[in-house]
Amino acid sequence: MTENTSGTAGQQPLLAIDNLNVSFITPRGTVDVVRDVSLALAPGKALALVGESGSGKTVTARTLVGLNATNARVTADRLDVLGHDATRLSERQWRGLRGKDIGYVLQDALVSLDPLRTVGQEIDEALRAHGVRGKAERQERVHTALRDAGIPDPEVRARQRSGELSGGLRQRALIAQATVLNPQLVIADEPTTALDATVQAQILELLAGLKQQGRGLIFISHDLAVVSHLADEIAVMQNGRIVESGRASEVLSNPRHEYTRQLIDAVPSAAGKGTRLSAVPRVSVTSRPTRLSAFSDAAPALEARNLVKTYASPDGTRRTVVDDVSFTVPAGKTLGIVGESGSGKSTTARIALGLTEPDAGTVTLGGLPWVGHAEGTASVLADRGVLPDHGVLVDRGERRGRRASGLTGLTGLTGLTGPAGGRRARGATAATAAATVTEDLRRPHRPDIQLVNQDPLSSFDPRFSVGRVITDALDAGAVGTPGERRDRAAALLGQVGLPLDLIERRPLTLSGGQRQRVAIARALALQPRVLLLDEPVSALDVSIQAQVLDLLADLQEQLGLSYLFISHDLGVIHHVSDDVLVLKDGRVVESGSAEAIFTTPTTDYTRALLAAVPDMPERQAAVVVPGAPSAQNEAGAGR
Amino acid sequence: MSTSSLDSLSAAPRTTATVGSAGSVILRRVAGSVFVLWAAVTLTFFVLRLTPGDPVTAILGGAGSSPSPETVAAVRAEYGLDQPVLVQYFSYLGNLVTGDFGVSYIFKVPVVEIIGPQILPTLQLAGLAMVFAWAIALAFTLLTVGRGRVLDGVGRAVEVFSASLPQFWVGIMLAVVFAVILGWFPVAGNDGFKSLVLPALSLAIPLAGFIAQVTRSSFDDALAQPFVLSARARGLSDTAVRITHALRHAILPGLTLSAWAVGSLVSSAVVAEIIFARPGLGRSLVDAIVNRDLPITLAVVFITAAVYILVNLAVDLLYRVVDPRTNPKGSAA
Repeated sequence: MTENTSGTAGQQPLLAIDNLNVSFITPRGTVDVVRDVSLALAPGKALALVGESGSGKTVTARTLVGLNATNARVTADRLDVLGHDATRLSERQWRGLRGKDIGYVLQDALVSLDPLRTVGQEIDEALRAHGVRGKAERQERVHTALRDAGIPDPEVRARQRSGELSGGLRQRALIAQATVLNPQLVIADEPTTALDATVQAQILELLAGLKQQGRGLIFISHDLAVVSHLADEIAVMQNGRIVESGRASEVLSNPRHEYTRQLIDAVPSAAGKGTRLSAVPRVSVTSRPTRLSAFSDAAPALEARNLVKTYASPDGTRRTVVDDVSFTVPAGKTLGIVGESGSGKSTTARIALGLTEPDAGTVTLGGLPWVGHAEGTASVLADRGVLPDHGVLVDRGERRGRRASGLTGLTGLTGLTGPAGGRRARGATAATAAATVTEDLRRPHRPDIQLVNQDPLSSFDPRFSVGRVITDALDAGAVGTPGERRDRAAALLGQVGLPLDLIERRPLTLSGGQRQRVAIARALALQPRVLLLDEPVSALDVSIQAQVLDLLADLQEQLGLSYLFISHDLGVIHHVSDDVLVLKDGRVVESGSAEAIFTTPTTDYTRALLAAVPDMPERQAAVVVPGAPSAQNEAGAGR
Repeated sequence: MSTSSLDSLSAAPRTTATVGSAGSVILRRVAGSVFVLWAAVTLTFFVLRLTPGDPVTAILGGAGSSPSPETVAAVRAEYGLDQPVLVQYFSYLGNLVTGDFGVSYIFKVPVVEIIGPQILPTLQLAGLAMVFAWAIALAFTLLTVGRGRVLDGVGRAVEVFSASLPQFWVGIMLAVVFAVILGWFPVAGNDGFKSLVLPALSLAIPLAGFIAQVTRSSFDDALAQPFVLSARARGLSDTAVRITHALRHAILPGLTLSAWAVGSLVSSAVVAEIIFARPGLGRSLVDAIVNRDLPITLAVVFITAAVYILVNLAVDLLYRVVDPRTNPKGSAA
């Protein structure tokens, strides 16, 4: 079964594909997924397949290793893979090619390597499947493969499982298992999508190394910025067709197809705050009932002072996860928190939400003591929690009036004069006080700060309809009558740019972008003043990400919301933030205005982060005429 | 509310195994099992004592006999039944600690002598039934899961059917077909492996239906995982991927189920033991309950609880062999 096919490298193209069609036979009929795709790849070259989810990239790639689902029907005028007519290969012949001549690298190594087996066993399996006898030889080759993939201490790592490795090492191990037999063709399907920017840069470098060794590389991504440095050729796919293809520099600097332009515009790093990334129309908020709240618009929306959080490790030592973190989110502005996995971003977010008690430090929400304040100040919150008609829909004018009639006067931590009773805060250093704001005091104010997650699906009850997901939030706030809540849910869907007929659908049947919009609608249901956005676009394709970022910008502008925006993606952070906080190992490495941090970073760490961001070659901004390919001047295509 | 899933990305494996190193698990489990055994014995003791009827009547030959009051008093004193129930309870516990299960009311000999020879046949029966059940369930899973909709549907149907079969009916059918008509196995008795096959199968077939239902869904899940695709892309055949990758993931939930199943096999063994006329704990238990033979009933309950505890411990340890992620040393990162 190990027929030798590697003698022909050099001259012959690795791939020659004309008019590839792949369709799936389903009980409801035939679905065409790939249509008239033609590709060619020479040794030592990299071809990038770019497009959003569902565009047929992955199905095309799997056709090249003969691993499509059993109900797939593949036809092509020509489908030459490494000199074989792939339409005629038997399963046995395919097995001889897979792993040996074609390496296939998947997205997330945590699930793409068997979590119950060691990395070494996984690599060894490829060697055994292709008839490498001799245990010592195999072990030697496993270690070599790991070392070649840039993994230090391969002898140790080979005995670990994917769950024990960091994201970067894990992805390297995944590449090692696909390339241990030195295949001529390597197919990488979104190999960096789940990774931090610096790790992504390392993996891209490793893949570039494979290319330099003379292998052909097929690289699949939804992100043009990622492929721009690696690809020689780019094929842009949409709805199963290649809509544009050509030399990478040409496609990126002078895109001819409308869709390619959308993809390029969607890359947030290329455009600062205020630029629209997508072509979807702006949402406009027409009806805007406002909720009476003690939240002060004069004070910073969210202010954290000297947060510290430590956790006990299994071995008994204490690990400091958040170490003296302070930040301010000014009202109506966005603070971006950027950092790699494990930098303490999410713990900081949990503290800001009042879900995790910090060991020390305070959080103030719209001038209100929110987390960890001294006893005296906490009681102010209690006094404010007993507003007579809290939670009732009243209009903004009325609310203003109420505030003027006695709710102003919140001046800060020291010298607080509570409206009822004039109680004074003892001890201005709230961080040292033992007594804290309790959840009972916080709960009436929870509507003021809401959360949007990375993965909305797991935070939806799958049995709920979209409408119920949203009204559920309103039920929690006991707002209005059931009929009013349904109307409100419908209005919220409109606010986030979703059609009304989605209200009866289940979250599972929605696309990723639609789900995230529902999550935003749910967060907006209780009319929060602050949204905490934890990696809200990280699971989305670049083009969908662009739409969601635009939506968030519209909502901020029209509702005056304040955002705490957490992301590992510097491009996204650059695009959305007024101010930026860079976290590393729980400490603030750098903070300041987005402008300052992205143009004149002062620390090496920030500079390294910025250097790792895949930047797009510049393209001359042009007025896009929808549909029609427009002639464009050759822009300064810096590669 | 949306505020609950900030850390939903934690990669902790789904597991029913106890957390901790193997040594500490054994230690904690042993401490726990002493408590469980005590609770089982205590509960049984008082429940049986609180049921109406005088044990002395049972000792003296059942309701039909009419012993003289002197005899009753003498027997009551001999068995310590004239003392308060609490005193009886503590003296029973004291004896139990030294391994003394008391004297049977019916047979008038130490319980150990009656129960002792019956433990092994029952354990053999339950053990072999377990092995058969797993063999059937795994073979079935490997053959039918993910092999197209027809086979999948057939597999599902057979599983539900066999899971809903009553054990005694299976036993009778097996006896009729393989013992009476075909004559491959003895109809009854207890001599060697051959006489064990049919009773074990009669317990195994319904159990296999249960286990296969669980392994099927986890096998299905495993086959859809990206690591299966990775393995296929390395050049492994479909069969090799099923055996080396998917199967291991598939048996994890089945293991948890087995721990429960062994306990119930020991107590449901009575069905097979009666149909195939085998000696065993199950029969002794039924006889003892019918005859109000308190010491034997207590002893069987004690042994069943002990087996249950041991098997759960074994499964817990086996679990960490199959899923090394359970072991804290294995998940340092």
